[in-house]
Amino acid sequence: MLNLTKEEKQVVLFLVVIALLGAGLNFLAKKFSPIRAIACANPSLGKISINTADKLTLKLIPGVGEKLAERILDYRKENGKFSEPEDLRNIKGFSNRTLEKARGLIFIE
Amino acid sequence: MKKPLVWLALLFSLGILASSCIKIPLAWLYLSAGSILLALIFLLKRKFLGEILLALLVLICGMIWLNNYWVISGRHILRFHYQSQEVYVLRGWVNSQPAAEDNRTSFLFRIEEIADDQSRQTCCGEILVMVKGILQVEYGEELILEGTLHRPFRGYLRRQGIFRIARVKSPYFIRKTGSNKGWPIKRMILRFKSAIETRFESGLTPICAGIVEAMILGEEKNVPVKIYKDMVRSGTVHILVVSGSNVGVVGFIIILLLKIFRVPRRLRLILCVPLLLTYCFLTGASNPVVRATIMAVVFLFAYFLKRQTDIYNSCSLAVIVILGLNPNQIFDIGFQLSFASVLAIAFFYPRLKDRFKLDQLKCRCLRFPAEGCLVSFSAWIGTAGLIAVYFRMVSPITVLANLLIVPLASIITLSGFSLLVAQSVSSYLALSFASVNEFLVSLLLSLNSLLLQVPHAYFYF
Repeated sequence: MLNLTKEEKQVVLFLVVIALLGAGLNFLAKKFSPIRAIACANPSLGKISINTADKLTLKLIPGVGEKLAERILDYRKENGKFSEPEDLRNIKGFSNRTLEKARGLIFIE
Repeated sequence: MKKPLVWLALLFSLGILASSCIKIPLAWLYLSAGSILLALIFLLKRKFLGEILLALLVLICGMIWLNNYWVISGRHILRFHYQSQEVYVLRGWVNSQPAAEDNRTSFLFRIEEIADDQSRQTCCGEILVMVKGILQVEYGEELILEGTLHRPFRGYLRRQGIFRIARVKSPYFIRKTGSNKGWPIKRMILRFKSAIETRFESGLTPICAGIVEAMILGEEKNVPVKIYKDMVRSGTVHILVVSGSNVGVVGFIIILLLKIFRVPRRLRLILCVPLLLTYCFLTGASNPVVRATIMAVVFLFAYFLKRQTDIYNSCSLAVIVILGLNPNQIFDIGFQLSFASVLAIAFFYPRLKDRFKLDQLKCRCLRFPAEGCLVSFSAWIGTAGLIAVYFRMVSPITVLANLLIVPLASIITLSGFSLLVAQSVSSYLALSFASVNEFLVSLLLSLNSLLLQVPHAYFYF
């Protein structure tokens, strides 16, 4: 069927043994590699920094549209960085309700 | 000529297929392989028994290969329990050329760490990242991104080993931390590919650029859906996904260029190998290209060593290499069509040629189209069944369409490469080359539309 010479058989056998050995080692490496915890806590995870975000990103905050995002940028230019989220209320159109909605999604760097 | 690789490839593939149908524990498979190995030590010299045992061992090797490929690491992203609305921080690196479309960027991401608001953990695996907005990143760049995790609905992604999608709301949530990951050669090749794409897009109209890019780089994202569907109907879509014929054309161009520069014959053959491999990576190393590249490299080496080549042996080597790298490819339609067409041409074409006594035709202008027709017909015999099963379609026009469109596609590939060279020389020269490209592409599209209008050109069932 295969019509192999003795040397050819030895080469095929060698390659198959190497492949099986490699597959076995690979299997063991996969089997014994559990998830390892490295560190914990990341308070700003997935939140938007209102001191660094650009207009497009600010628009991702619920209740913030084109104009309000522009006003936030203008405020930042004129008054510097926000020191607390409540500073947003100084911006025209940023109501208490908008701030409450946004609170969970923003952070101060 | 002996065809040992054909049997080995066949047995290895059979093992993979058997493993996908019958679930045998890996331990049992290893035990059987070990027993056969032990027996082989004593029986290798025996002609018949030795060969039977060796064949069995290759078959079991195929089974182990797929079984092992399906084993998911304990650290794999698939093992990570996520909440669909929760945001996670993912650290890793870009493992593909990013694609930007409709204000959305997507790329493959090799994940190394994952963190939620409680902890940070090591992780591995590949995910598809989809970012809302245009993000400028390239292969090998290390990123930290924040996004939600989802399960892909498309079975195609899961077959490619991508079990999770990360959606990122905006490029703002992505930070670049370095660019030292990945394979430097691949990074260089992908940069080169981007440069070529930019050149085509600047010199040609969008539709023409999309088609030329697909033919030369295998990048079909810019081909309009209607054109793509029309090509599927006429059975000529293989010209839009870089196939064996493209590799042949590129090999021809390389050899010709090296000949023009008076490079010695043996050096020409040696230089052609790395250049073909570069082209293989440039086009995303899809199955047909890998197959054609391996076959071309085998042919070049055989020519270099003044040895005979056998198409079945080189095809089998390509099967072993592709399935060795990813045994899941056996279920890929591209893999099946690619090998079915080549094997059908290799098997039927010489027989049909003898049957119709084409060698007796004296007139070359008659013999050449007749031979082309037989090649196209042979490929159709090999692929018609698979196309009927997968696409629920039969396309009798394929034979005629390929006869006309494949030579035209080869000319477009050549003129596309010429355009690239012309663009580097002078913009005025490039303009005339671009016009030729535009004309050829519109001719190809018109021809394809015309062929589809022939009654019963194709039908769905």
